[in-house]
Amino acid sequence: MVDDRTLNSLRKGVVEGVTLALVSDSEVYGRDLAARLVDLGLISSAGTMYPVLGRLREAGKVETTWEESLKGPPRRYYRLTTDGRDALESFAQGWEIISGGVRSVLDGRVNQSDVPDEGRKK
Amino acid sequence: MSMNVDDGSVERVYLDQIERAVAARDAEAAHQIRAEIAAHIAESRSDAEQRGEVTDIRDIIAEIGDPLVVAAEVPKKRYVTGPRPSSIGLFTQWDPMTYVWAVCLLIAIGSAFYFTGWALGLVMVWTSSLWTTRIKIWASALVPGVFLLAFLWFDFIFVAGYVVPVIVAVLLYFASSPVKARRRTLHG
Repeated sequence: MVDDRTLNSLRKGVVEGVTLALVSDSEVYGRDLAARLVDLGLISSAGTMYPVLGRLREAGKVETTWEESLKGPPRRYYRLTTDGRDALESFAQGWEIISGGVRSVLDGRVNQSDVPDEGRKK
Repeated sequence: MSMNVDDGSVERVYLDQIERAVAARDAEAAHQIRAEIAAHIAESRSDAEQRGEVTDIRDIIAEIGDPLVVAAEVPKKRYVTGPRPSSIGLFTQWDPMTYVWAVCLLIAIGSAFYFTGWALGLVMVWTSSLWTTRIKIWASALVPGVFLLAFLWFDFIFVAGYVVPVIVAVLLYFASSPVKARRRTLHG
């Protein structure tokens, strides 16, 4: 059972990067984006996506477009900017390093003998 | 799109709660996030109508989440005016609220020391972005203005020397952007 604090810390580290990845191929409708992030377990509720998008927009990584709908109000779509694409690239590289390291430890691939023991008393 | 009065008031109360909760962390972000969540609600209704479903505002609110949880995603900003209270190197790292208090104290009691504190306070006011130009002009002109009147026509040097600087200090306190931001947050 994962405790909320651990889960929130982990989410905070990756939610911006994953949001960038989700809007990287095409414009994504705001509600679909929120539903996708909730399904992935990266946000606890749809509303918590807006502060994340606000930060990304402020940093110039994501932009909002409005499209008229046949019925109802205009709809918001989100898409990646050039800066956002660079940030996504950087996130993907960082994630490779972090996830690989964590996975190797959790899978028990690193043996105790591989860990430097310079600090250990002899 | 149909919406009954009860739904409208539930939505308004919820959006007010969102705005207040976010403003407590970052006053500048509050309005934007409220607008986006209001748009989310309108889109939810419209999507449901297109599917021929009846929507309940409470279900949409449950999907969006607790205002405090939404606000917790907003990084806490101390003041809306930025981290540098003054362009003078000595003061750039000061907390804006501490800077406001220092200026107010210098202006209020500085006249007791041949107006050196008052003059230093004014220098701090003019090199800061925490006050508007209009307030800076008023703060600078009030004491000399009242002194001039006192010398020319009236005998109220005490008022000009001691009371007016205190009035100016109070004016500067309430007109400073950190205090205005705090008041906006407290009163929603």
